Amino acid sequence: MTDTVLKMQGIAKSFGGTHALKGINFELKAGEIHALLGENGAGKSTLIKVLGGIHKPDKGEIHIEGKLADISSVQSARDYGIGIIHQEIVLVPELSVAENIFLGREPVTKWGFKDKKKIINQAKQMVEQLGLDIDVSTHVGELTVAQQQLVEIVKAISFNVKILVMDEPTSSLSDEEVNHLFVTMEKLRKQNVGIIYISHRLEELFKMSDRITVIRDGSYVGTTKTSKIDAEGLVAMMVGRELGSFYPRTYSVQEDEVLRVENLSRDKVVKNVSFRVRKGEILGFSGLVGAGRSELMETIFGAYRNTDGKVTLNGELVNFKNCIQAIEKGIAMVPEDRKRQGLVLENSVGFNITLANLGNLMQNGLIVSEKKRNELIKKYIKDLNIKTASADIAVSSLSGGNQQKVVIAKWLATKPKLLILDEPTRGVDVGARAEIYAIINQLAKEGLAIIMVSSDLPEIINMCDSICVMRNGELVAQLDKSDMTQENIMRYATGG
Amino acid sequence: MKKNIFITLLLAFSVFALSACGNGNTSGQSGNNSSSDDGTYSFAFLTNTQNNTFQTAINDKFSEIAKEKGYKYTMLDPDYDLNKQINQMSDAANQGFDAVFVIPVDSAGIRQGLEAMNDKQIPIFNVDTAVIEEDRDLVQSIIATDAFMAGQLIGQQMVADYPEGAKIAILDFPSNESCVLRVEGFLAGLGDSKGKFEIVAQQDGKASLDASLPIAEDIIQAHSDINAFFAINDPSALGVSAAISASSKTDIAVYSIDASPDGKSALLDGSFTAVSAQVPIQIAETAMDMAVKFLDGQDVEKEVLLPSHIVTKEMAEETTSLWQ
Amino acid sequence: MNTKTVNPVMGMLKNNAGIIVVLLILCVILSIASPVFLTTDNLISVLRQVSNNVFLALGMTLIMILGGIDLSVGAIVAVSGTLTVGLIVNNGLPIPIAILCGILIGVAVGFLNGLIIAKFKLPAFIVTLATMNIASGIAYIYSGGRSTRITDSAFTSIGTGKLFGFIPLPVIYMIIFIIIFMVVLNKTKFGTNIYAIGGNREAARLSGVPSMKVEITVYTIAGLLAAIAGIVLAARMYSGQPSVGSGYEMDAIAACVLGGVSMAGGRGRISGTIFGVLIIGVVSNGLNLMGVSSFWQLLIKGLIILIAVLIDAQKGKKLPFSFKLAK
Repeated sequence: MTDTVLKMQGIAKSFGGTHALKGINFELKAGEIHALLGENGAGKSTLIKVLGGIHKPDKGEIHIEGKLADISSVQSARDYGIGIIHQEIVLVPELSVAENIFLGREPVTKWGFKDKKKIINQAKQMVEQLGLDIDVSTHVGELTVAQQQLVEIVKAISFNVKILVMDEPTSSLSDEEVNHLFVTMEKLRKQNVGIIYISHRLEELFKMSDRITVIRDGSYVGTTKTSKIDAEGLVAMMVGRELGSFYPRTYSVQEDEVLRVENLSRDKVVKNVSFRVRKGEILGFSGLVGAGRSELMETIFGAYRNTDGKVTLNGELVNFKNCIQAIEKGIAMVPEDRKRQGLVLENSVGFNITLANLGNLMQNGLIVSEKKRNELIKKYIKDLNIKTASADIAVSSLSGGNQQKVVIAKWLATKPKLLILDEPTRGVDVGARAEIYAIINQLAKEGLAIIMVSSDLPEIINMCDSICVMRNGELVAQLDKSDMTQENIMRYATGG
Repeated sequence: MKKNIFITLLLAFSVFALSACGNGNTSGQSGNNSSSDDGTYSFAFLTNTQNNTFQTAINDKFSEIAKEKGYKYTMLDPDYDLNKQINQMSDAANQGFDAVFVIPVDSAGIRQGLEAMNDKQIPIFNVDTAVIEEDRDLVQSIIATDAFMAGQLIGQQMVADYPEGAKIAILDFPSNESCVLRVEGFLAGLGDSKGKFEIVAQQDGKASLDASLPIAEDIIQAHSDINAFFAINDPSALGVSAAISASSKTDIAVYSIDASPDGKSALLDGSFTAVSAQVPIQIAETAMDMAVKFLDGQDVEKEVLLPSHIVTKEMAEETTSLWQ
Repeated sequence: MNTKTVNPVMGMLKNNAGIIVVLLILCVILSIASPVFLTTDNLISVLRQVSNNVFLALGMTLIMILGGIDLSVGAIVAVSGTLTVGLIVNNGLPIPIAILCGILIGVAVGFLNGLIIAKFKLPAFIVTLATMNIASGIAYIYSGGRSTRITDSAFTSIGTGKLFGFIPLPVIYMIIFIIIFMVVLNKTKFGTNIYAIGGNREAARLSGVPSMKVEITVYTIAGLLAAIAGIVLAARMYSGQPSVGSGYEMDAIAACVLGGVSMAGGRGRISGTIFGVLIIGVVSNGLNLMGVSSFWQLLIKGLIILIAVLIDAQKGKKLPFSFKLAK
């Protein structure tokens, strides 16, 4: 159980003048789950690409099972028993599970045809070996994302891997699906596969990993046994300084009501929901994926029309027909999917910050004032500490956390009275996450009413004054500070 | 709700539009399936397009004669689509016309259609643009303006206007057989004086105004001492004269072939220097006359080339909005 | 969207470096091949020739940044010119009213394009393919397929007149429109909204961009420009021609793509498009000056478009790569 399968020593790699990796050490034992942790851009991906044969290191040695390895290509990485599951799923949706597993190396009959029977049988065997419940003849396109991820794992295992790299496998999975993945990982561990696990979710690392290696700015920071460190210690290692309290919530709820929602319904996705939000309050919304939280927020924001019920903002009945009206009246919404709904990715940071607010930046009725525009951009880059080389580079080149800050800046610039945050920290690394929490807390302190939708239970419990739990489009419970526990929330969310 | 109303309106409009153009067609189309059983002749004209006044002039004359004499007459327009014309020819063959008039979209491309006609023993009178040599035996007669002569007359006119020679440019249209003949005729018309004329540019004007305009402008730029242009038809020549008036040059002459109504008015206002005639109306008269003679059992000539002539200002004034 | 305090001219040169190099190389080759090419007279003539494509390409740039395409502009050129000239010559309408009618029909077709595309979420390619046929059909029905000649200098001077006796009026219109469109696209909320919709329609909607209004307006503007192009062209040709304009939309699209406008939407600049138009115009002018046959011109133009786009694609590849490293 304690043989070292992989040893990477002093790995360095630079592109042009940029040193992406400056001497990284990493060690993996058979049957071990070893977490690799670091902020976005710290060099995790580059290190994995070196291991996977995509980049050749400038310096350093890789030993596999004690022997010096020369990983020169993707193929040779595979030959050394290295399997990599990337963040993006790379399966062919029109092919069956079995066909995907054997893609490019299909066994053939003596006539030269694809041996469908053999493919199906072998695939079935592999799936069962991992205790999975997937019909290998279904098309991959019909599976859920979580199931597809499991198929990726089966495919990787089918190459007899000794080293399996999982790059943020849980970022798009629900809690239940994550648990399923963990069960599968345990099975692999028993088969003596060494797993390199990359994730931003600290709770997962504490639950699953044996050891954690932290890298920062391309440098090796250290490796520690998971049992010997806590969350704050890890964050300190990652960002290189103490962060203070991770969740900086201070109570600031005032009496004035900002938003009142009464019996709001939209087709079959939102049913008869009522709640209210006060000045300075952070109201959380929890529930499983598909419970109707985002749909509820989109309805309040006017992105979709309600079919029944009332929305009252600052005492005025509103029921917005479109987002333009909602924005005019002072509602802002940071949407769930930053890349698809929040940002115009190929346009600049400044473009995105000012997008919702150009009406206020006119120098006359027609022309946008460059001066006012630049002042506004400068102010928010500074206020929210957005890390960008300039306001003119494409927002797609920023890290996830800084992209999210750009979206938040865009909405703060509209001077809203109610801010809706839908999954504000998804895909955001720990350092930026702490900064976003601090911003949210500061906004509430200044009297902004905030709704926060989140699937991250520790986050929502620590940041919110009260939590609404939704299931199947209905609001099933509103929990006070005293009732907010993970168990309580999950009980209402699942109906168990 | 609003969407439905909009779609309904759109639908209603298209039905209306369909019926409107249906009305336009029925008068012509209804004669299609007739034959000579009732004693009158039935003819079909397979044209290239009706977006060209030359071809509409032929059609108008045909239909005028047919009306006068009580013949049945139909025009089929493939809009320059060769495939469509072949289909129309086989359709027409099945409808059993007594004779057809054909302007081939492509001289070498309609053999299949000609054979379909021959199978049904329908005589073909090939008008304006002749089919290629190999297919000549499939058509009864060819009736066209003498394109070579039209060019030759213009060439001779130019020699008369510039006895000492000149610098000239030619806008041709090499993808059309008749237009190629016009250029050959023009060069022949220059005759012994050929050596005195310097052809500084020869470009494809695509026989259209908007294509010829920028080409002529560029030629004027490149050769500021140019004296005259020869363009193979009126639209092309009108493009040249627009280019000339856009430049600061006033002394460049324009020679054309066609004498269409537009060409005549250009001749009258001085934009054109000289123009020789194409004779669509004569073509239509001759072709109809020959077809009737043939059906009445008389012999007809294999090929009739109708002579061109130089159109003088007086002639232009008399027939200003007409072809000849 | 914009650089901060960089000289706008330098910024424009930098943004279009690839295509400017192509244009300069072409100019050098052509001025060696033909001594006439670099004369003032000829350069003015080139500008006059490209003005028509500029009108269409300006509208097309906006539409393509929006993520759409407009195949109907060529047909609008035909219908507006035919209608305007026809109304003057055949119906004896006063010139200004006839022009207004010609412009209105272009605006109407453009508005119809925008309305159907924005409201029914149909692909612009199909919708404008249909309206292209409709507009062209109207031109033919109205004119009976015949061109109408007009010699009234009050009308033709719109296209043939000259400012100070040597700058053709179409060139003046062209310059005015270029300036207006640069300001609109770079300096107004409307322009920013076009980029936002083309870059990410959903994000734009959730940011309060009135996408339907913007989309309809943009197609209407393109229709307006095409109608103006049609009227100016008719004046230059001394006639309304129903057959004119076919393929003009392709020249406009080619100019946009040459100028770096993305077919997928979200990216593009007026300055780039103008350089694209100039490349196409300079090539055909130069080849005409040299007396190259039109068959060869087709082949050479195709090759130049391919080469220019390839050069531009290389430039595009480098940028995101260096962004990644900077991160």
